[in-house]
Amino acid sequence: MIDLDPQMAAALQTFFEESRELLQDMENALLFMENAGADSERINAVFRAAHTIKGSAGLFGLEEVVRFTHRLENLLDQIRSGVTDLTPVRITLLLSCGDHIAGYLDRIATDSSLDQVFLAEDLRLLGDLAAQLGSSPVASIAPAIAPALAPTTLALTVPPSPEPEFSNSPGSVQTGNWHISLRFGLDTFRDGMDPLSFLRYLEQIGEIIGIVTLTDSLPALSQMDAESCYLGFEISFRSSADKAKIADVFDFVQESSTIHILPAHSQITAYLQLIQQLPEADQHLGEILVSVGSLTEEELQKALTLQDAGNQGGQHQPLGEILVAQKMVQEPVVQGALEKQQQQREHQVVERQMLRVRAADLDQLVNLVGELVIASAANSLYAAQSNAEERVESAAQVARLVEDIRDGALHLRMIDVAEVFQRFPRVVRDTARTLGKDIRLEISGEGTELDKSMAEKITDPLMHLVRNAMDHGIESAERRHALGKPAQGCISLHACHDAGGIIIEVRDDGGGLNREKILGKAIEKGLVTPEQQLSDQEIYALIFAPGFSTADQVSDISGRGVGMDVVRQNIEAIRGSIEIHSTPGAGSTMRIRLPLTLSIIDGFLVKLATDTFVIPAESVEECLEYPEQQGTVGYMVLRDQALPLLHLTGVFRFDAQPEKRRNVIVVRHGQDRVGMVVGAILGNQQTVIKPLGKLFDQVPGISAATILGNGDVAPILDIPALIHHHASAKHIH
Amino acid sequence: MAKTVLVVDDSASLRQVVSIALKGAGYEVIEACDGVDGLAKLGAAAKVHLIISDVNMPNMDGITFVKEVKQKPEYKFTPVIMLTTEAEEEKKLQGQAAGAKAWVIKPFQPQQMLAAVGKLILP
Amino acid sequence: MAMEIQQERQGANLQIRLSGDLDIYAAAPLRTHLLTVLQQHHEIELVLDEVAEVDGAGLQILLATKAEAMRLGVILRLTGHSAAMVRALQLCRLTAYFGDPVILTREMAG
Repeated sequence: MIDLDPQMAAALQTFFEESRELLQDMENALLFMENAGADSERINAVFRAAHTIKGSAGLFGLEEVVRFTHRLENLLDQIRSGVTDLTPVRITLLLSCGDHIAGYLDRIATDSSLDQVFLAEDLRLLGDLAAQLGSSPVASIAPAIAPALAPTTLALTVPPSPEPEFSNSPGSVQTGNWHISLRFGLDTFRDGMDPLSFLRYLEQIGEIIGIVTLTDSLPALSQMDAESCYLGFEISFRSSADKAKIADVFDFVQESSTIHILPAHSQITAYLQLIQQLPEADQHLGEILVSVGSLTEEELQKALTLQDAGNQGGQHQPLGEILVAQKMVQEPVVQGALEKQQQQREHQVVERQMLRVRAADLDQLVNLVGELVIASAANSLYAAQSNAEERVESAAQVARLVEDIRDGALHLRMIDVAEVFQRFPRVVRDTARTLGKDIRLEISGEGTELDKSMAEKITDPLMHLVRNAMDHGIESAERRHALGKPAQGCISLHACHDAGGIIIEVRDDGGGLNREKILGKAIEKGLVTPEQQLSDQEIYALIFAPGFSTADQVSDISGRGVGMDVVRQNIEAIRGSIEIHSTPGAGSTMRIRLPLTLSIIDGFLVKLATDTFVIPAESVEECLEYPEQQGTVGYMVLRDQALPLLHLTGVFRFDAQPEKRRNVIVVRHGQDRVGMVVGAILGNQQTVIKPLGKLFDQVPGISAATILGNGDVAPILDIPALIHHHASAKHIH
Repeated sequence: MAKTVLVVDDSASLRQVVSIALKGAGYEVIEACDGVDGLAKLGAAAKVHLIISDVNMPNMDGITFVKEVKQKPEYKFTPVIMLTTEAEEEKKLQGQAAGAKAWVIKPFQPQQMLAAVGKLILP
Repeated sequence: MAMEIQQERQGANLQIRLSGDLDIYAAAPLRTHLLTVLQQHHEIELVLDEVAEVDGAGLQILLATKAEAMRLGVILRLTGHSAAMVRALQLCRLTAYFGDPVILTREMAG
């Protein structure tokens, strides 16, 4: 679509990110106002979002985005100024417009063309926008669009314009050059403007053939105000630019200065008019025009004769008077503007300042910090061995600092759970409409932080759970009414920290899970036998079994795509777990438990012979003493149930003697439960996960490693793999 | 010695593009994300020859920012370009009253910004 | 770079060296200074070799100073024009107005 150099490509990337954030802000504000009513602060935020996107899109020459956003901005401007109300219909339209802009951005980002469907939507939305514009619809749009579109052509090509009239008709002067007459206003310097800069810029669009610097208005050194500008210039200028372009050079000073631009071959009367309008003595000015080369001596004489003939007295108005007059006009306008600004300041929104960091850079930093932790552990160990007290002391101090740095570095990856939740108001709103249900969303626990990579991975499962709860959990309005419940259903998303982890809950106030129905279905599908005694928890958990669905009919909302089994898998892939609490008639809660970060693990340290291993604490259900009397067999009895045992010394082919005191760690993955037979239990420790080197990459049953306080490397057991290994081993025998 | 331009706008992409264009033309560029940041950057800079500021910004808007700048003896005569839209004639007037006598209308293309800057200072 | 004024008396003559930016920020103090010395000396040399930038306000002070010097009969000479000074004078075609010889280096001519 556009060929950009690498710098601009990077800037475009910034634009995409920034625009998506702005669209999100816009959506949040609109959804808030849909429920709570319009407020000027949020309307302003929505306007500013559209405004910023339009402004930046223009910079990249994204005309379609500019055009579309401009129309959106028109409606927003009317809403902002109170001409048009923010009705629910308009909120829906504005939301669709936000989606549409996101659609534009996605297509530009992926370099895909605008397909028919998209363009049809474009037309529909533009039509709706025009229809929603208040008092003066279509007519008011047209002129407003023009300036928005103009830049794209203006910047690159000079619009074709009629050449200055080239006619040596009687009465026109000979020279083919423009004549520019400049009298800069007294405040020019104070306004930050420099006449010399304008002249230099003028040289970029043509050639200054002749120039006279006028000092006529310059007072004596003792009388002058050094900060006032008394300069004037008469310029003969050769250029192929048109009058608008030449005038444009001086647009910043045109109000405060007197500027005349005469095209080439102007009539002598035009020069005469100029001479009369300017403050300097006519004869003197005429001579200047001659010396610049704009008039010949003969032409000047002719002009002055003309003047004498028709002179009815001074039309001369000193520059100063003009200025004063202008100032008097401006004063009330300025005053009004100041009052307006005062009001607006009160509505200012304070936004947090953020720094954008590339995720890859952050990962590398965290990785380096991991290395540092190991190096520091080794350092402490050697210091301890040296028995030198100072060295031990300083090593301990380094270790403490390193830990602080580690915590700080890991914290950099943390984002507010609010960023995950912010997509849901829209999801709930749109889903509720599709379902024809009235459902509100409550969000709590913002401020809870979680690892960014985890946040990305939890969004889809959450989305599925929310849709599922809305579809299957919350009853129809009639049913709710019959049950004496409020007609409006409620979905709530909640987050909090809990015991070194994060809990995210999806709650609904619907009918709760139907225990009997689930059980019936599970038996029908052969997932459980009718004889099995199952707790409520275990029955609810059956909905996570592959292929399970209790919906009587597959609906558009949650019957599509992934099932609840995939939700569970996705959650477990980030070392999380999910459990269900349900109260018949009152609703259910899906509770997701996630580790604090993917880089730190709560480890359960165990000994195997002389080596230390780490079992992720979240898999551990309980610890038991190994019943030595039963010998080395494949199972033990735990609360009247057979618990398969996995002898880790066997798995990793340790030749060591059987431990004197052995323990069983009961671990769980999904529905499977296994007892790991280990030596001594060393207890809990938070450890940093280090990826394995190539050498250990292929060792089954080990997922990663960590470094212990004494500098030793401890493998982290891959519980799902070990359980799987055990199951398949059993199949073979 | 290259002239320094301070670009104050809450849009990072806008700052980035303007910065690329200005640096390409030989200017030095300092970026700030709002009026408060702009004042801080101005305080820290050795010399700023021109300021480009958006009108609508969080924390401190462009008009307040320009007023603050014009209070500083070392910057009271420094040119300020205000970024407005054609719909914000009122803001433009407020900006001018505050001391921003030059303006560029959004949306603009990089060349238009270079033209506006070029009229006020050379690189 | 803020302007600095250094001066050295050479008999009845005064040599003033302006260094830094001859701009709006320098205009007011420069005016006051030049106004004073014009009253006290018969011959003044303005050395401009260290002028980094010149704007309209700076140029205007030089124009007014020249006019004042002529009025008082003081000899005012501008010497050692820096590149920036030459550019400003040439832009406004003012070299002849001051009447001082301007030495163009190759860089300036180019």
